[in-house]
Amino acid sequence: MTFSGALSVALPELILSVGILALLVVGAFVGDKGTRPVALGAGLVLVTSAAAACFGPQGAAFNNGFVEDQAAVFAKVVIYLVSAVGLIIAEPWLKRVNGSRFEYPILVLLAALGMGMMVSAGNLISLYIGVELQSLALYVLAAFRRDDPRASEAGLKYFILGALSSGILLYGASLIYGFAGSTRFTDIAAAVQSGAGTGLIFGLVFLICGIAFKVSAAPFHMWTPDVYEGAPTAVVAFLTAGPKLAGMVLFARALANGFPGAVEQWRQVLIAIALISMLWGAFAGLAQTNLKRLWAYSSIANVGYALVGLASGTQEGVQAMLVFMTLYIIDVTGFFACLVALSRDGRPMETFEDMAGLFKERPGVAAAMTIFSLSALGMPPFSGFWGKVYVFKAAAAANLQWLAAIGLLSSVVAAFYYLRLIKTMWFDPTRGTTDASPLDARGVAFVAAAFSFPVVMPALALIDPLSKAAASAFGLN
Amino acid sequence: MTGILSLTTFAPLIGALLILAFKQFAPKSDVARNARWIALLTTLVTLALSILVVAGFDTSQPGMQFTENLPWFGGVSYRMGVDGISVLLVLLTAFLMPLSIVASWAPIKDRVAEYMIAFLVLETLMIGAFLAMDLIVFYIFFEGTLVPMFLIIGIWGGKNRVYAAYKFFLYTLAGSVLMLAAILTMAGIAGTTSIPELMAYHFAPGVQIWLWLAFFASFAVKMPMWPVHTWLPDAHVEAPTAGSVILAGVLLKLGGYGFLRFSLPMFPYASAYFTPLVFALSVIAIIYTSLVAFRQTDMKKLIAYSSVAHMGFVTMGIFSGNIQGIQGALFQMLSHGVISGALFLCVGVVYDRMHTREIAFYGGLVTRMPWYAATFLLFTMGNVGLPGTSGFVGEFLTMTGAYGVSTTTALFAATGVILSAVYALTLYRRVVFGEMVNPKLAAITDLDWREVATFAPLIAGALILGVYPHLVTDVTASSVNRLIDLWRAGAPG
Amino acid sequence: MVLSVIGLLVAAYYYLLHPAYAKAIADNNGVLYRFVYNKWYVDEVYQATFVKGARALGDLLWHTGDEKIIDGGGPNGVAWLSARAGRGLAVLQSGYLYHYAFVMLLGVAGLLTYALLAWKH
Repeated sequence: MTFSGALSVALPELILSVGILALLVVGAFVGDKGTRPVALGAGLVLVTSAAAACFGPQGAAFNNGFVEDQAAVFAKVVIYLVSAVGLIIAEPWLKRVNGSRFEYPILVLLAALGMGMMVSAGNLISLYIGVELQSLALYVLAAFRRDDPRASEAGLKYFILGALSSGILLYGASLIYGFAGSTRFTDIAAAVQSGAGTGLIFGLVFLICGIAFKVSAAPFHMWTPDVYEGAPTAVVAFLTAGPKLAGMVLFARALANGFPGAVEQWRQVLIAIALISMLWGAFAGLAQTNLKRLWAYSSIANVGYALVGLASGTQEGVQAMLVFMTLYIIDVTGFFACLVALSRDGRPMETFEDMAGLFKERPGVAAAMTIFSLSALGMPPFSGFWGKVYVFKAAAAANLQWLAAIGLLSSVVAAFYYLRLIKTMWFDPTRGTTDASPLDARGVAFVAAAFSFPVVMPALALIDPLSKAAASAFGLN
Repeated sequence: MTGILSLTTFAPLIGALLILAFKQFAPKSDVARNARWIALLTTLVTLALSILVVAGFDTSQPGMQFTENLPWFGGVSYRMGVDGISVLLVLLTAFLMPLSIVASWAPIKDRVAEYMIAFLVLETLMIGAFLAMDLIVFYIFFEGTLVPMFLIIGIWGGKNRVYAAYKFFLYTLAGSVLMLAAILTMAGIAGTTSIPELMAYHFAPGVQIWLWLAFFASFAVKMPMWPVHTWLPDAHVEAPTAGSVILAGVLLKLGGYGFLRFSLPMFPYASAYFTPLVFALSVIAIIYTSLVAFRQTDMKKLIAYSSVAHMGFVTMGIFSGNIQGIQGALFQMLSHGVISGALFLCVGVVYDRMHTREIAFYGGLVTRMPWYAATFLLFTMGNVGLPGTSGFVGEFLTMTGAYGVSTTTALFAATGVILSAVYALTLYRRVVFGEMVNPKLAAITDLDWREVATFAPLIAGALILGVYPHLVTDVTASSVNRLIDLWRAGAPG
Repeated sequence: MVLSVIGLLVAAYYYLLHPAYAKAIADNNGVLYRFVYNKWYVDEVYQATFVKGARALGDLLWHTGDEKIIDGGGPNGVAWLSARAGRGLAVLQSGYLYHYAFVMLLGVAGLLTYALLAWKH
């Protein structure tokens, strides 16, 4: 492949990089007054990149280090668009908390670029670059409100534990490189085919653990509740959406492309992680009173479900994971948009008590939150149900009925805390008036709620073939 | 008449959207009135539509009629259809809904629009569950019923409503998710989720056992069967009157319908294998819950326990696998829908006046409320299974059916009939007869015209079905025969 | 048939031929008379055995069966256990970084061990 051909394959990321540099220059000259134009520009860049991913050429470039296939396109479109939505929520929020800074949209773009690299990673180096680029941007975003000690603490915790996980990841990568003799997934696959030794297995497990941290799968999830609670809500809305999908696709990328000959082996590890995540997320969530913390546990459980799809080790399973994550991140973005939209006396509403009687006070937002809760619970016909149908159908087809049954039963446990939120909003007496809620966040919430039901039902007819094509790119059976 | 099933299913939903629209755009003061009238009209239209379905139903045909099929995605299709097993259950649902709306007319004063919306959505889901001919679509409707019922119990319920609402939701959800796992497994094995195709598909016996158990977990809770019945008394006690009517009248029938639609035809081997288990649980349910009902001090709780006992007859009839048993079970479901619904309304009448359901509070009502006493008597007799009421036919047929398979089971069930007489008549005697000692009751008034209008159709239903059971059995016969053929073909021996 | 004819004859003997005897027996209020007058105490026997038995059994099944065993072991018991498990897991979430890092490293070690064991064969 010629150099220009290789560049054209990486077109979406090139657009992002150039956009970041240009916006940085603009920001440096205009300062914080220019936050809105920079944010608008960033949104434009993200949408353009998504379009470029959609319509640009596909193939493997840079010596197989960068792969643009159906799966990458699918993930990129979702990630870039959801990041743009994250900006819609965040920009007015920044203005309200007097923290309007032009760096914010640029950091979001940097994280998006990292995610784009992750889903296109064709070797261990591009994998690591993607992961680190994304993580570094997220660490800063988590601590974006420097005046808020909770946010600073969250950012610092995230950073230190993230560094530890990066170490684990790197250790795994170097083991794999040492035993396979190459960083390229295609070469590793060939080495694994001719017999996976203990060294490779060690490397594989470390690699899985490192990525598991990024998607907050148990037992590498410990940072999640603290960071979610401490970080600004608008940041959490971003943090919990795109990066999770990117991490999951990276999982599929590394395991399916790098270790297709060891499916049985990595499946076992994923089953264990999925099982722990589902149960931990369900049970630990019961004791929570803060909604952001609660949704952290919910995301742990949901990542567990998505991993069940991946643990099936089949093309159907990967497709299930993609559909599940896509539907999930729309829900979760909508939910955090609701939290951004709600405040009382200028204070954000984050606990169960704050939500008491919300239905009388703000029927629209309460209805949207009810929909997101029911969806996360897996109640038909909301989108979360369809995600679960995909995932557990794939698991059942891969002879993992027992895992599906445990997963579904753990969702009954988790159902309690979703119901508790619904109960608080609908049954309990109200606690006084709320502030006027900003239209942007409310709008995002309503659109996401409408997607969760009923738009998802016709949309599935579209998502189904797209995700199927995406999953086929991984070449599993 | 293609499309009439979807129309019947979604007509209530359209009504719900109308209420929402009126709530948004009409004057605030009219919200409650608008909601009530729209809900009543919608349910009446739905009733008319379901009568059209029954009128156009060809009783000689055993298979699905009025079928609709719209491919969706990933092998799932929006399939609808109706046969002899489901057609009358749809009619029952559509019949009870307007009565429930009328019964809620005066008692519900808070958040009327939301209440009516919840009921209309519930109606769509219930009818849809009876008509869906695709497993996934069925599951959507079946499971979806939990949400409106959760809200109905939780918002408009009694003192302990939150506990009851959680219990109702989580209990049934735990059963249902196992069924979902089974549904997804079946989809993987058979490669389809179409119910008619799955009925023709033969699952291996070993697989059938597991699938049957998973479906059983769901339907046994829904039914409810002993020992997973404990959510029902709580839910009934806390639910508003109309909620109890729908819960007992229709939602419980989803369990029996599920056995008939899925367990028997799709897993005939496992159904035959587990028949002794079901018989044992049914008999225990009949005797156990009758005894417990006898000791209740709360009228609603008593009727709730009596519902469990009556559902024991249904499961017993279904799994006897012969024509009397299954016909009887279907008949019992319809009859129980009418009678238990009416009994809950009877409790509601005095509850609305006195705001207590304690049996000890009442006594001697016959002197102040003769019409009420007569109505209550009729439905008590129906509950006991007096010949001439619909309750008799169902119990008699199911016991005949069970007798053909297991004499002991039928004998034990017969003692349940006696026990039902004991608790039902005790309740009636203590509430209606005796001295009126409680001074608070002195001013209690008899049925008003709205209550009379609610009870009249129910009285007619209970008597007509009791005197002329062929109305039901003729409609169900050919489908039941086919069901028995499917069972015999797949069952061992 | 035979018995009823005998009964008829005995009754006719006392009430028609010798009404005084009958009155004497009634006035005497003997054991036999009271037994017969109270319909052989059928109601009382029923009351003592069936009704009381049914009441006791009903109470037993209700309070011990439904409330203690089924609800206690089923929904309420599971809810209690789940809440305990939730609180237990929440304790682990101490906020201290070294705890978190420790759990992560435990996870790595556990998964490694599991992987090695699972892949031996």
